[in-house]
Amino acid sequence: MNEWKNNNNLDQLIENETRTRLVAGTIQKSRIDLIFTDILGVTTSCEFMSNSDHCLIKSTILNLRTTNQKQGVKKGVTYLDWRNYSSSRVIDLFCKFFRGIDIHMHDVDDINDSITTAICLALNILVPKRTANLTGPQPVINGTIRNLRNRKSKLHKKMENDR
Amino acid sequence: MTGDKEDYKNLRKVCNSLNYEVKKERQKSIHNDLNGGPKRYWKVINKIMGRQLTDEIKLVEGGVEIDEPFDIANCFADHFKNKVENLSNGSTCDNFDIPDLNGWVSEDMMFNANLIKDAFNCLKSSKAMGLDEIPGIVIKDLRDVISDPLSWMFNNIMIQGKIPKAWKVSKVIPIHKKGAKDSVNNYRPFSNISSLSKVFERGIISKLKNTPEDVFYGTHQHAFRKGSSTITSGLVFQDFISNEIDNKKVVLAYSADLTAAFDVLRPNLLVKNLLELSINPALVRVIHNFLSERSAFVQIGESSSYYWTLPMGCVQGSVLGPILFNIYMRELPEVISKAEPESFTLAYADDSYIAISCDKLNLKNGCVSLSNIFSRHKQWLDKQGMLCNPSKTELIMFGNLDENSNVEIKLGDTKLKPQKTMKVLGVMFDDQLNWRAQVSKTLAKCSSISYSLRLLNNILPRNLNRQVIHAHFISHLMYGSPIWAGCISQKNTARLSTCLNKTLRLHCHDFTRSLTNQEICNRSNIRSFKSLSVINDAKTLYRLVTQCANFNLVQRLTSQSLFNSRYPNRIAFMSCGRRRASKNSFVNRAKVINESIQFDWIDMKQATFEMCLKRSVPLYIP
Repeated sequence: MNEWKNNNNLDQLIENETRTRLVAGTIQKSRIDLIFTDILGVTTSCEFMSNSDHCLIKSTILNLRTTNQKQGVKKGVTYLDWRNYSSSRVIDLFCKFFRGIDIHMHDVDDINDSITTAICLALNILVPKRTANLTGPQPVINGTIRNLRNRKSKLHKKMENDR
Repeated sequence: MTGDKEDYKNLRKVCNSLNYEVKKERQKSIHNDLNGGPKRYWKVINKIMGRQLTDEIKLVEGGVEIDEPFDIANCFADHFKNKVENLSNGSTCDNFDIPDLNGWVSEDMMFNANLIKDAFNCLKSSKAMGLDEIPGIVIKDLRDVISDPLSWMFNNIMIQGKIPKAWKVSKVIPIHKKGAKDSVNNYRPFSNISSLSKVFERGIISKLKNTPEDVFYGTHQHAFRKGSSTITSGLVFQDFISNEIDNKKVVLAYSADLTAAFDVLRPNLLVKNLLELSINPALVRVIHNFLSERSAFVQIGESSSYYWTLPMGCVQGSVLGPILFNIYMRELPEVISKAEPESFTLAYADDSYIAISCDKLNLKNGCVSLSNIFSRHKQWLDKQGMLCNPSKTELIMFGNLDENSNVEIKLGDTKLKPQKTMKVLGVMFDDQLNWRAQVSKTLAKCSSISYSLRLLNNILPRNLNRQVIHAHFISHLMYGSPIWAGCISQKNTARLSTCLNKTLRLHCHDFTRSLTNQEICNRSNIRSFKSLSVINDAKTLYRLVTQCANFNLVQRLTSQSLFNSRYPNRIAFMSCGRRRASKNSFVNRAKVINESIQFDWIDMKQATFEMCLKRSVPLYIP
């Protein structure tokens, strides 16, 4: 499995132990959930890789969302997620998409389109657009404090008047 | 009564503890915000300093508030479109029939991969994306693999004389100028164009740079040139005035403000200018194609407006635009000197300042000459399709000590009286060149900033606080200092020093004033006002001598050889017998700086020079 993982340049998503069991009187922890991904794109298929009781499923995740959202972005705002970007990756992907295109065209619009499309395809994978889910920081002064302050100032005024 | 008192005491206790928690929470939230990297903390700091950039634009049109992004975008599109249309309809500019520019493209006009790689190096990674939504950093990373396809494409562009249609669409972002933020009139259209177009424009510039800059723009133009800045233009203007005052003359000057200058540049007239400069016809053809048949749309957030066509303009935000604008305006000093041979012309992009000198006894003739110059200037602008805004034109008279002289000059249809002050590229010039107005303006600005800095003082870490003082306080305090800081009175120097020291005391938490000024400077590691002024003057001198050797000011400043045979460590400046202009003559100020720099430093690189300078000038100069 490791060989397959290395050959396909994949990463294991689950890093912690996910099962605890008692083996010969001692507690042993093991990792049974194996999710491999190249975190690069979108898949529509699920492929069973082996027939043992540990079933290996090849799947890529559509629009991967992590709980670790960008901080300080308002809810609903679209931002670019640069976490997967690196110059070597963008060069690889550009070459992949640009391969097979004959640049020796004479229409400048066509040449421009093919270069731009290849770059945009690479960027769609490496720098996807995300929408922020988190709300901004809550205002510190809430209604309770404001009410208490009002009550305090009213009492103070009353006391002043009584004097 | 006692019940109330007890209630009050309890409430006060609760409120105080809650207030304390609120304060703590607030500081904690600011701390959290500050931990998100430099971009994030500068956003927080700018917010506290009252410089919050409005992400959400809200407009008011005819008393109705527009807050939907789509409506706002269309509102801006209407405004930008109508503005250019109105200006073009009312103008009587020259027409020029473009000759046939088709022909054989010479080899030196072609692009190779190395030239394109150089163009990539000049690109800035931080610039906003255009219509193609490709960030600059990605294009830079791809330079090794896309240089070949790009060179093929660029060569095809040169041969065919047409650029891709996608490059002709500008994504316009409204940038707030000044005034109310809810009025469309206070915004300028700023175009974001596609990244590949920027690389191509860089390549075109490298082809244009084969001709010397002075031939292109003339020495009067200070914008978008290496070594020139608002400071050099201010210095040149100050030098002209002080020189004339020394000769016992009066200087009359006006500033001309052009309406939407960058948006009304006529491509045909630009082609005429380029052909006059003997630029290769293939290059001219491509530049003409770059400027014609353009379209634009306004983008606000995720919403975009309708597309409209741009019949003219030099594309604000493009790489090539500013250079083309300079070429378009290059004839200005020639036109002015035709009206008055001894006139002085200074330009910084679309801002131009025209001055003449005359004898005090001949003031009337001087006024007549200036009105002639203005009318000639206006005629030329009309021919170029540009409109001078008379309400923003300012007039000033330097060196006239007679306050009762009632001078009125007819500039166009309006009669103007000379003002006491005139703002020249952010620096207030007053008629006696004593810089009181500039000092008052600086003090007012710095005092308000100092108040905001108090809020940040306890929250920010020490190092960051120092950066904030440099970015928000010292940048305002020392703006244009090479022009005015060496010429102000001792009293004004003391006022400015006190303002700086107050802020530094805050930084050092010295609320009881137990530390001396020198101790404050040493502890905060920030220079005193005089020390900052010497450093800025020396840097300007270096830039002038190394990069602006063709300016009259520099030619007068230095003798033929800079080597001083008497004092080999010092630079040999020309001797100057000026008395009346005193420190307003840069030569007199340069002699003061000469003590801080050494002769051989001038040959050093700028960074090395600045390092040596910082070591030689003490942190505190009383």
